[in-house]
Amino acid sequence: MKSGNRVKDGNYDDVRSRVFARARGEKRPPAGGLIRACREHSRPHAREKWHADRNPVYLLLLLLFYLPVLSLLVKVFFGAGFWQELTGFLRSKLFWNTLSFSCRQALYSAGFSLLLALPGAYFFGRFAFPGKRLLRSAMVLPFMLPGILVVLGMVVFYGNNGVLNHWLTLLFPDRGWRFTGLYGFWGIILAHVFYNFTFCLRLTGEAWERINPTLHEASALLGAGPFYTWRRITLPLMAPTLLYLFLLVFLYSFFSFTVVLVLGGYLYKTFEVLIYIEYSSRLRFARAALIAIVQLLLLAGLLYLQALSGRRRRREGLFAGTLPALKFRDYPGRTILFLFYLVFTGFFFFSPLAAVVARSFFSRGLSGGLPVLENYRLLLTDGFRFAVGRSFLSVITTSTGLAVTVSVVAVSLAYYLARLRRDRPWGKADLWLQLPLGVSFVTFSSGLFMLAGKVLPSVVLILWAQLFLAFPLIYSMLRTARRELGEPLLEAAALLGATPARILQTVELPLMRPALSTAAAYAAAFSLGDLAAVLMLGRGRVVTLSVAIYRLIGHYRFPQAIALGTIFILISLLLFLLMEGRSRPRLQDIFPRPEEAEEE
Amino acid sequence: MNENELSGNELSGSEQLCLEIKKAYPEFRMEVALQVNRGEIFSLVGPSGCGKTTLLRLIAGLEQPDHGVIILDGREITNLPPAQRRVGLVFQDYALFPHLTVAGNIEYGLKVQHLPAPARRQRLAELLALFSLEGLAHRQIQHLSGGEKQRVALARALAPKPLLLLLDEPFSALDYSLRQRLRQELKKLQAKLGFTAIFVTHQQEEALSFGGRLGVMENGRLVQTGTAEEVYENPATPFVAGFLGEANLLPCSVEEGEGRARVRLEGDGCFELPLQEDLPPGTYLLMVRPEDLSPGPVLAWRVTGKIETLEYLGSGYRLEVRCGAGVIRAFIAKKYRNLREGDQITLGFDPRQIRLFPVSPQNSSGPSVPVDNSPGI
Amino acid sequence: MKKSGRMHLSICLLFALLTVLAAGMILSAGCGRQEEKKLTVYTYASFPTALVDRACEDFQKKHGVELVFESFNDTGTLFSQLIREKEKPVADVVIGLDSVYFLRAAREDLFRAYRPKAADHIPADLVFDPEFRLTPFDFGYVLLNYDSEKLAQVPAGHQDLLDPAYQGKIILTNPLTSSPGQIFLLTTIALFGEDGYIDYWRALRKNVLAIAASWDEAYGMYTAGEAPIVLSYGTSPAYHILYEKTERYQPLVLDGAAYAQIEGVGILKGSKNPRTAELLIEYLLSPEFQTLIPENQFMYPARSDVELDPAFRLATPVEKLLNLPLESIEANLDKWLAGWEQAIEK
Repeated sequence: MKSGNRVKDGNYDDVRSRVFARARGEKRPPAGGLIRACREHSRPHAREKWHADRNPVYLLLLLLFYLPVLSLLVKVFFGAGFWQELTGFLRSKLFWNTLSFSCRQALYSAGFSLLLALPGAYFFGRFAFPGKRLLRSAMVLPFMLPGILVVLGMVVFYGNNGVLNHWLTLLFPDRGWRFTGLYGFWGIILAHVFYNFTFCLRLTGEAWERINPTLHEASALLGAGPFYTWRRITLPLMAPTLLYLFLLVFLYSFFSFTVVLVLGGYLYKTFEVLIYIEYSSRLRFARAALIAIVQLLLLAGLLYLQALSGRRRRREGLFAGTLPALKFRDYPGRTILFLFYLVFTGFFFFSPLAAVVARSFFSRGLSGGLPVLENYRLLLTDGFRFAVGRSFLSVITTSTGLAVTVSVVAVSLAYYLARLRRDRPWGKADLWLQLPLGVSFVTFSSGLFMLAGKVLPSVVLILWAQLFLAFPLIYSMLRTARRELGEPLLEAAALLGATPARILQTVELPLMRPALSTAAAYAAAFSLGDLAAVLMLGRGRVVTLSVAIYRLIGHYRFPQAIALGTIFILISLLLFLLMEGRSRPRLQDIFPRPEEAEEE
Repeated sequence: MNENELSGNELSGSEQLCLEIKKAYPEFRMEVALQVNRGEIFSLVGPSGCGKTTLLRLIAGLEQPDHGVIILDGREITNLPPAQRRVGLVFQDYALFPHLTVAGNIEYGLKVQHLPAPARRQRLAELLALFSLEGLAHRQIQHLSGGEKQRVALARALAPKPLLLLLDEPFSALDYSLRQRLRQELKKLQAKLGFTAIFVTHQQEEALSFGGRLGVMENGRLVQTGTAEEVYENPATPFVAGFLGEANLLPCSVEEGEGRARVRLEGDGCFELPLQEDLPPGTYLLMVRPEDLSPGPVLAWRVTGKIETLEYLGSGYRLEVRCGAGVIRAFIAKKYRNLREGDQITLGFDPRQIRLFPVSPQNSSGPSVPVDNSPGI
Repeated sequence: MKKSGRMHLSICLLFALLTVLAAGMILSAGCGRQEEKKLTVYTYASFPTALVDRACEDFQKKHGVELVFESFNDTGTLFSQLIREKEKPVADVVIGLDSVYFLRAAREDLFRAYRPKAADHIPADLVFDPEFRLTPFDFGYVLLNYDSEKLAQVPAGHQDLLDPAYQGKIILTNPLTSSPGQIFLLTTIALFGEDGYIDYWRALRKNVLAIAASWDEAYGMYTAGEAPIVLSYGTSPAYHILYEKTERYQPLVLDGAAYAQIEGVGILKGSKNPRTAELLIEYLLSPEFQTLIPENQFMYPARSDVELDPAFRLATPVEKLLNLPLESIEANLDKWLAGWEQAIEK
C-alpha cells in the first residue's frame, strides 16, 4: 500500500496551497502558520477525503448516477416472488441462450477487432508517413457515429440486396457469389468489429509507439531476431493494452443494443435487447428489472476480471515522446503490405459510410439515374413529419439543443471536479465516477424511469441519462488533461500577482481549451448518437436525429433515412474537425488504461 | 566465471576493435578511425551532440555507415545485423525489460542462445554473485534503485560474453557519489574479467578517471586519442584543451628576432623562446592551465592584473584576474591568504607548461605546438 | 479553508445553470401547452400519410378542429404508451389496436364505449366488442407474401415452409411487439394446436432470416430484396398492382387458410374532448373516408357498403377463415407467447 506516499503528497499539496494562498494575498492565512499546518495534516486522510468525498457536486453526481440503479435493485429485491422469478429466469433456456450468444459474439468481436488492429498497429506504431496524423484522428470517427447509422451503413453495403452483392454479381456474374450473412451472428460481429476496430487500431498503434525503442535494440544486441523480440518484448509490453482493449470491446459488444436489435432479428439477443423488449413492448417492468439485475451481476464479474488484469502496472517500458520512426521508402516490401492493409480495411470499414452518403443522392425508383436531392427535399415534407412525428426543423433543434446542453453541463461539471482533484492521485473517488462506463445504459434508463418517470418531464430524464452516458469519458479526459497541465505555470502566474479569477481566465482556460473543446465535442457526439435513452425515456415525444433515423428505417423510408444519415455524418465530421482542428486528443486520455489508472 | 572468455579470443595483434567509417548526418559528418586494444577501457569523451552515441550505435550495428569497415576480433562485422555482432551495449537509460524480473533480464541473452537450462542457471548465479544482486533475482525492474538497475544492465550486457562492451553514459542518471563508486566498481570488474569496453561520457572527470586511453570527439570527428595524461598535457587543439580540464587561452603573436622566437602577449609584454622550426611567425593562442599559474614576480613569464573575483575553495583559491590579454583564471595555493578582490597581482608561469595554437584566418583551432622543453631562459 | 468560498460560489453557479437549462428545455419542449380545438390521435407508423392528411383537412373544414397525429413504431410501443399514460392520457382517439390488443385494453379499462351510427353497416362477424369500446375500422388477412421474381419454388402449405430450400428466405414479425406477428402466432396455433405450434416454430426458425420488431421493418426489408418471403397482409400486393403496376409481389395463402386481423378505433377514457372524439369516430366510419381505406391503407374497410377496386377482389382467395375464441386467447395468450419465446430459442 502506498499510503506513505499519499501522506507526503497530501502534506506537500496542502503546504503549497497555503503558500500560494498567501502569495495571492488571501485574507485568512492558516491559523498558526505553516509549520503548524504541516503538523496538523500529517494526519493524512482527513484533508484528502474532504476534497472529493464530501464535495457536494461530487455527491450530487454520485446520487444522479447510482440512485436509478439502486432504485431498480430495491424495487426488484423487495418485489413479490423475487427469488422464484430469478431462479426461474436463470434456469430458462432464454437466459442461457442469451448469455452464450452474448459471450460468443463479444469474444469474436473483441478477438477480430484486435487481430485486425495488430498489423495496423505495427505500421502506425513504427513508421512515419505523411497523413498519419489525419488517418489516426479519423479513426475515432466510427466510434462517434450512432449505432443506428452504423446499422444503416451495414444494411446498405452488406445487405442481401446491398452494394457489395451488386458488385459481386457484376464482377462475377456466373459464380453466384453472394454475401448473405448480415442478419445473424456474423453480421452482428461484422458491425461490432466495424464499430470497435478503428479505435483498437489507434490505441494499439499508440501503445506500440510508446514502447521504448531501445528495448528492441537491447534485445537485438543480446542476439534476438525480430520475431523473438516481438514475441518476448513487444507483445508482453503491449499485453496490458491489448487485454484492456479486449475487455473493453468485449463489454461494448456484450451490452450491444442497436446493432443486435436490428441485425439480430430477435433470433439473437443480448440482455439489453431482452430488457428493452420486456420494458417497452411487453410492459413487464419487474421482469425487465430482474434481467437488468442479472446483467449487472454479470457486469460486476467482468469488471472484477478487468480490475484483476489491470493490477500489475508496467509503465516503465512505456516511453513518452518521439522515437526514430521508420520510413516507408527504406522498406518497400512493407510499404506494399501496408497499402494492402489500408485498402482492405478501408474497403471494409469505410465503404458502408461511403455507401450511405452515395445512396442518399439516389431516390428509390430513380436508382441508376442522375444524383438528385429528392431525398433531402422529402425530409422537409409532411410525410417526414408523420413518419418521424416531428418536423425536420424541430428534430434538428431538439437534437442540437440536447447535445449542447449535455455537453455544457457535462463539461462544466467534469472540469469542476477535475480541477478539484487536480493534485490527487487517481483513486477510488475517480473510480466511482468511471464506473457508469460499464453500467448498461438500458438498465440505467429503466431504473431512471422507475425512479422519476412520473415526476420529471421527459426532456429532463433524457438529459439526466445522457449526462450519465457522457460523463465518465469526459471526466477522465479532462482529469488527465488538467493533471498534465500541472501547477507550476499557474503558480508562476500567482507569484506574478494575478488574482485567481484572472489566472483562470488568462492562463488556465486558454491552456485547457483544446481539451475542453474535445471533451465538449465528445459529449455532443454521445448525446447525438444516443438512441436507447430517447426511445425509453422520451415517451415517443422527444425526437432526435437518431430516433428520426430509427423511425425512418422502421417506416421503410429508407432513402430519407439515408439522407438524414448523411446529414448526421456531416455533423459528426464537423464535431470531429472541432476536436482535431484545435488539439491532438490522445486516446489514452479518453480511455485511461488500467496501468495508468493507479499512478502513484 | 571464466574470465578469458570475456576478454575475447587469442588472435595476433592487440587490437580488439578496428574501424574506419564515414557517414553523413544532417547535423554533421561522421568520419572516424579508431582502434581499441584488447582488455582496455577506452573512454570516448566529447560534448553532447558530438556523435559519441552515434559512433556506439554504428559499432553496435543499430545504424549503418555510408562507407567504411568495422573489424571486431579479427572478423569483419560491417554488414552484420546487431544480433550477430557479439557486442554488448549498456544504454544510457539501461533499457531494462520492464516486464521481466532481474533474473529474466540477465538470462535473456542466454535464452536467445538456447543455452541449456543448467548452464544458464549456473551463469545466472555467477553474474548475480558478481554484481551482488543475489537477493534481487526475482524482483521486478521498477522496484530497483538506480544503482541496482545499472548493475543489472551491466550484468545483462555481459551475460552472453560479448567481444566488446559499449557503455553509453551509463552513470549519467545517478548522483555524484554513486557515480564515483560505480566507476570504481567497473574498473575493478574490468581488471578482474579483462573485457574490452568503450565508455562514452561527456564528463571529463569520468573520462580521465579510468586512466586508460581516451578519445575526444568534436563534430563527428575524433580529434585526439591517447592516454589521459598525454591528452591532458598535450591537447591537440584549443577545443581539447578547453574540454579536458580548464584552460586559459590568450591571444598572442610570435615574432622572429635574434635567433629566438618572441611571443608577444597583448598588453602583457613579450617573452622569448628558442627558435623552433614549427613555430613560424603569426598569431597564436597561448594556453596555460590555471593550476600552472602562481603569484609572485619570480618567474620570467608573467602577467599582471587586477583580481576581479576571488573564491575560497578550501584547498586554495580560485582567481579571475583582468590583465591586458583578457581575463585569466588561476588556482593558487592556500598560503596566499591575504589577497583581496581589487588587488593588483602578478602571476608567473613556466614556459614549459604552455601550449601555442596557431590561429589561421579560416579556423581558429589549428594543431597545437608544444613548446620546446629545453629551458631557454 | 480558503477554497470554501469559491467552492460554494461554483456550486451555486452550477445549480443555477442546471436549473435554467432544465427549465429551458421543459419550456421549449412545449409541455403543458393545451389548446382547445385540438384532438390528438395515436396510431402506428404504417398508417398512411394520405389518410392522415385527408382526415386533418376534412375535419378542420367540417368542425374547425385540428387533428394531431402521433405515430408509434409498432402496436406494442403504442400500447405501452397508452398504459404509461393511463392516469393522464395525452391522446383522445386511438386508431389501430386489433381484436387481440383489445383484450388487454379491456383489462386495463382504457376505452369508453361509443356506438357510432355507422355500426349498422359493419358486418356482425367483425364486431369483436359488442359494447363498442373499440369499433372495427378495417380488417385484413394476415398472410405471407412472396416475391415472384426471387422465389422459384412457391410453397403450398405451412409444412412446405420448413423445407431447407427456404433457409434465410423468410422475414417474420415479432409477436411480442407487433400485431400481425401476434396474429400469425395465432394462425399457427389454430392450425397446429396448442401443442403442435411449438414444434412448428422450432422447425421454422431455421429458415427465418429475421424476426423484425414491426411490420414496416419486415416489409421494408422484403421490398429492398433482402428476402423473398415476408409476413404481411393478403391485400399488400394490391399496393404494388395499383401503384407500381407490377404483379411481382404475390400473396401466399398456405393451406388455403388465413386468420383475419380486425383493427379498431376507440376513444380513451381520459379524453378531455369526448364529444369531438365522437365526431371523429363518426367521420372515420363515414362512407367517404372508408372508401379511401383500401387504396391507401391496403386493408378492407369495415363497412360492407363500400365498392372495392378489382385488384382487391382478386387479391385473397382465402378458403378457410381461421378463428380462435376470444376468451381462449385472453386466457392463454401470455402462455402462448412464452411458449413461442422458448420455441425460437435453439
